[in-house]
Amino acid sequence: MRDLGQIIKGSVTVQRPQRIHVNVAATDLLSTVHSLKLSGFNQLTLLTAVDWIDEQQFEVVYLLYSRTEKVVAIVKARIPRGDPEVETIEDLYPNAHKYEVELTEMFGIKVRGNADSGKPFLLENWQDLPPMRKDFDSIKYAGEHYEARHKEVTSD
Amino acid sequence: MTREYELNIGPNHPGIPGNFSLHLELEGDTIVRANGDSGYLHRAFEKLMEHRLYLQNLGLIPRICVPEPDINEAAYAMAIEELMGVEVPERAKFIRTIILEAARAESYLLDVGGFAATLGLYTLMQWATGDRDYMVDIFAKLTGARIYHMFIWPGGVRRDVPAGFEEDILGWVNYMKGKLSDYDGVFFKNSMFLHRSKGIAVITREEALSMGVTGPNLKAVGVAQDVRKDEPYAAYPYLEFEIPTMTEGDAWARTIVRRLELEMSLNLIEQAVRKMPKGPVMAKMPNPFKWYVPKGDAYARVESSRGEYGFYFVSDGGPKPYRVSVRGVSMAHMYPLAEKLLIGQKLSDASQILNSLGICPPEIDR
Repeated sequence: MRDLGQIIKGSVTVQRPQRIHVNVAATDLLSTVHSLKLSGFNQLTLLTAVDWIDEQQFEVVYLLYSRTEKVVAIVKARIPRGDPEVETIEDLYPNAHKYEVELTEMFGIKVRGNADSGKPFLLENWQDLPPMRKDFDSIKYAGEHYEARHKEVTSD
Repeated sequence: MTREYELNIGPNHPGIPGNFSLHLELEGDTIVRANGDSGYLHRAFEKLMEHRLYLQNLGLIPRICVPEPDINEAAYAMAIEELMGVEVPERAKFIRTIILEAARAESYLLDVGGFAATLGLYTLMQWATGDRDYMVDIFAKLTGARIYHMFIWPGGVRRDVPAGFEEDILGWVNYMKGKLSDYDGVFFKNSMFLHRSKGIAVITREEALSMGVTGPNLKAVGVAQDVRKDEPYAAYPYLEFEIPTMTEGDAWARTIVRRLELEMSLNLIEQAVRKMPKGPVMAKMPNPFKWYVPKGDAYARVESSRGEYGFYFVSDGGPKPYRVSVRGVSMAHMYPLAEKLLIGQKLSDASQILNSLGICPPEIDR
């Protein structure tokens, strides 16, 4: 764990025991994940993204776990919000595949190298903005696509 | 000449709790290819949570995975406590542990009962569902709700335990311990169960370690990984327990690990009730309608009956979470593990293989 500062190009902070937060530039993301895997972080726990719409950026987040050190590394990288793209990590972590499909579906972040990126996963015939984006208005969508609920009649 | 054909199982309940569909390609009754089809239970929890106050979300999160709702409350509370820097009172930690272990035991009862049912052994399913219901009644007395308790709050637990709670729950633990030998006789030592599960859908250690597998599925290949030991939360540091493991990695080993864990949960409840200190059950918290969680991100994880369950939490300092991402355990167990394990198996075993992996579709869809 001590040498992590040397192998990672970005900043490494320890928020509490057993957690490290790693912030890297998008260009160093793949190499960082690769080096972490080589230093024992061999479980992909979660892969997700955060939409920082005010800054016009997406933040992709990879949670990697080291079984020997019992530490979760939270690896974060910012990418521009317009035409977002990341590289796949499914060769390193096979369970990343579906997470990446979900990333494309929910945020519209394309994943280079993932053959299924862009295919539907949870949604069917989705034509709208990717729903987890902050500018997707779920109330407006519901109003346009679903009938209003009938007023409940009670006999109380 | 062999002919391949396609078959959909589901989306109504292919032997596991919740709607989920399997698209199979078969040759005779041997599975050649399997593709999971999720989305029937997508209720947009993560999006909904961004639009609700921290307090309102407490009513939402237990519904992410039905058989064991309390893990959601615990992970959600732990993430908020980390960001707010709140220390939970000792008594609340023990009450949380009792709740979490009782919920785990309930979940295992449904799991093994469901597994037995997919093999046509309905007796165990009836027994397990009935025995679980006694605990559901105790939960109703403790929390006011049978299934979705909303009892674990950021800062502690909602109320202290009612009078007579200790006797109630120890009574159930004793009753369950007595029933386990009956369970063994009717199911775990039943030759039909052995024939249908031994050597079926074997996970190798390498596969399990590379695919993010956790919980009983990982313990069944001999890896004693458990959040309760690796990153002790609630009252687990004060309790004595050993993580059960097997080495075979097949459906049988996974089910036996669940059986051993069920017994361990009962022991943990007993220990926690006996060691529970007196004192307050809630830390000093601001008015829940005005919680402003400091800016930052945190990942809180707990051990569920299926493996590592967690909440990745981002706050921008406002009254609502900025982003919540749920680590549903089954995501790693279904994709790509189950799709791979099903290849080469018989059609009649498909449901029980999914069941032996403990897959819970609602936590994949969220």
